[in-house]
Amino acid sequence: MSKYKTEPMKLWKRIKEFKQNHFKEYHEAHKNGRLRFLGATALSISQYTGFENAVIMGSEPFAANIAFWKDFGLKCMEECERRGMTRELCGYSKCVWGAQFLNKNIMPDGTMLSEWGKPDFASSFSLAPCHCKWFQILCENSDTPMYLFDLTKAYPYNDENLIKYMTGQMLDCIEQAEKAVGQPFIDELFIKGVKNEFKSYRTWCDIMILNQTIPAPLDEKTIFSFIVPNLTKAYGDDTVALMQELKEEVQDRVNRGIAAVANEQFRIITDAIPPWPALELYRYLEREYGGVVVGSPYVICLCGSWKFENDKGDLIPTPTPVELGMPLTTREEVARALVWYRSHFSTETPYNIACGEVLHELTLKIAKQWHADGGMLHQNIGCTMQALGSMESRNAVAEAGIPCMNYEGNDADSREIDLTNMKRKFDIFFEANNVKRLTKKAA
Amino acid sequence: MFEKFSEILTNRHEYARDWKKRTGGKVVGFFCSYAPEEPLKAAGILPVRIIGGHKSSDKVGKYIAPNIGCSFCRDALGRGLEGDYDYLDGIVQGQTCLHTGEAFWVWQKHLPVKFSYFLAVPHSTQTIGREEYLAVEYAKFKTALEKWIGKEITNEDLDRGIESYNTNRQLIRQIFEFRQQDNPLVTGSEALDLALSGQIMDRDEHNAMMKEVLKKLPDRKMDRDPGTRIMIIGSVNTDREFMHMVEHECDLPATIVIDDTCTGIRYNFNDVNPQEDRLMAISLRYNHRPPCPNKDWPRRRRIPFIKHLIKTYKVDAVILFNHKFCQPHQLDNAVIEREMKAMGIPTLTLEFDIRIPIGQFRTRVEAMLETTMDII
Ligand code: SF4
Ligand code: SF4
Repeated sequence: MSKYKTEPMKLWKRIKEFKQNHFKEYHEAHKNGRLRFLGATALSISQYTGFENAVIMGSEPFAANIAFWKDFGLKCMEECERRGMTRELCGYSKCVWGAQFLNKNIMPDGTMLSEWGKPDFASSFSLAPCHCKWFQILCENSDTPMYLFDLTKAYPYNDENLIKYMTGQMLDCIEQAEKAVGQPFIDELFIKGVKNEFKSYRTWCDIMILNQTIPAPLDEKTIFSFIVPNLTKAYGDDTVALMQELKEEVQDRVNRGIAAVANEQFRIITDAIPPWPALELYRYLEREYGGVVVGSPYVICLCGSWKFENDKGDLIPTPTPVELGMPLTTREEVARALVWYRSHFSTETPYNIACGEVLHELTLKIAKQWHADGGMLHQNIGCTMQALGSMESRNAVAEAGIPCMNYEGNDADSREIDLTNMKRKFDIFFEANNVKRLTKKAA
Repeated sequence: MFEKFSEILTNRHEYARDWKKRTGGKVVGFFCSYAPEEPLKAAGILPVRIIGGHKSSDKVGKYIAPNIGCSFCRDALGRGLEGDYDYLDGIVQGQTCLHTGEAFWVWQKHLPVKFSYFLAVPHSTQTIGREEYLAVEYAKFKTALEKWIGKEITNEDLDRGIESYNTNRQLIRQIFEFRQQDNPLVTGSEALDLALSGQIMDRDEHNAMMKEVLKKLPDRKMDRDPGTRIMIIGSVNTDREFMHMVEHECDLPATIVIDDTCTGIRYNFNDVNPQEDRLMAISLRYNHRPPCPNKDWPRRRRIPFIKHLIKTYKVDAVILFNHKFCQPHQLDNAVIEREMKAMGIPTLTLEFDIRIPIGQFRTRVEAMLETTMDII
């Protein structure tokens, strides 16, 4: 008999449809007389909401979708390698470059497309320099106008020099985009979109906090499907509503003691982007050991904005500029507020190398606040930025008395994922920590 | 003529210890050439570049995975963990790549020093507002330094720092110019020792030594066949064994006439142009110096710079010098290779680890030399 009650998420199907529709909207934009914007989500893509007929796509979910469809993903990698890009280079970049070279793409439901989806304007943020080099190469090869933002650091946050620098870039980007697409930027739309983003991101934080509950109402593999609305369309009214519904559903599960994993017996935190081509490993942990992944710096921060309470304490949601009563009536004010809000621990900013000092602290806080029994940190060699800090995060968690291991994988390149070896490592880890296996081991 | 530079470079830790004893000053290690040395010099501090020793250390693996961290950083960190840099009073990182950044954080945590500072140098040197941004970051850095050393760094101090470094870069460039001759008067190995020793020495002492060299250099007679004129393109080159092999051990003659590396001309190409706001003047220099790949976007400023060097130094062939797991350079290399091919310049890519397979590299270099010598 199971330890906890469980049931499927009611919103599951709708969120999947949301993703499919958004990708469809992006790919069909030109047919419908609309503009395509492709942007890294690292600081925001909501700046493009000022263009009335914009369809905005986040480049990371765009890449992750290719990586998830591993046969197509592999073709993309190989095409890049044929053109002199080495195997060690970023997995996400190679997914998108490869799609571009092949001039093909894939929809979330697996339907192949005969065009890769060249944007009318593209932008990225230097979470790490390679995140901009990714777009430099992409845009050079496709003759796409681009704006590459310099995000020098995200910690310590509230740094006036950084906020001023980034705001200046955002305002400049808007002007450059206006020129490139030949359409006016409408401030009212921008203000509305950004305010919506604040709401969507703030709600995400509440949802993540609900997952501190024992048993966890959500597991990370399911959460991966829920990140898409905020990553691709946080500015939309529909996303604000969807996030609210999601929060209510998760709250309801908490109230009724509904678990994501019926036999939850070992709560786990991870670290980085998962190995998209091998998500079945999550089901292995659940089925074999009642191991539920309750969160990670990646998934918790990706669609929210967080800070340390009083700069040293627990991780708490960053109050939104609306909650703080910041002025939000002009383009400048809104750009500044957006930069301020998102240059906390938001999206992947904790992995920004200037945050090395706090990444490990943040990981440890998450392990404690989300009541983790252990850590299984993905050393994602598909992303140097994430992989480099992974060992020190492991050390920080383990030194605090929470058992923790690293496992090597790749967010995009299925050739670099050795599932058998991963499972073996997990088995040893569970055994060492006296976690009872729930199934009989296959002979 | 250059033996003294080589000797100091070989005995760099002894040099730093001795400098401390002689002057009573503090020594600060820096990882990347984007750390501003002028304010350190102005504060009476000796900045020394932290480099590896081409020796592996089993202490690094606990902090940085060997299949991720670049070989240069693993080597440098390894030397720190092995105690080679125990004389450092502080460390500074001028932000560039992820790898130097992580090496800095590991060092700060596990090899505590009295002063450590991560300077958030802009990733791009083309963005709007980056010069002002960096000048403000320098002001914060200067304040932190002042707090540490317990005294104000005045404009006069900064002028002294700027003057010393400007002179240093100018002298290095003057000496490098002798490499443009048909029979270069300075070999690549000598040039490397000359420039790299500057990064670990008191620049005034280094300047005095270079001035002596410049008195004799125009009359130097080279009794060697320069052979193929090679350019090295890559990150940080500290591989003296490799340089020596190319110029002295191959069956066919070759001379490394120039480089685009941060231990060579890239670092020494431009000066600080004095202006009232000293920190802005320094910011302009670091923003406008020939960029490393990390900082070369959205436009590519590196390619025209490389082409300029190829023309000026009459380069016949290029070696792309890539540290293992150095993604920043890998990201540019495919584009550079394409450009070289279009120019008809033979290009050889070599991957450098902490230790290199010298015999295998020799074979590959010789194979490239055969193509340039027109003997096959
Ligand atoms: S390696 Fe990571 S940080 Fe770099 S471009 Fe790829 S996803 Fe971005
Ligand atoms: S630029 Fe390359 S070689 Fe240099 S420190 Fe960074 S990763 Fe290593």
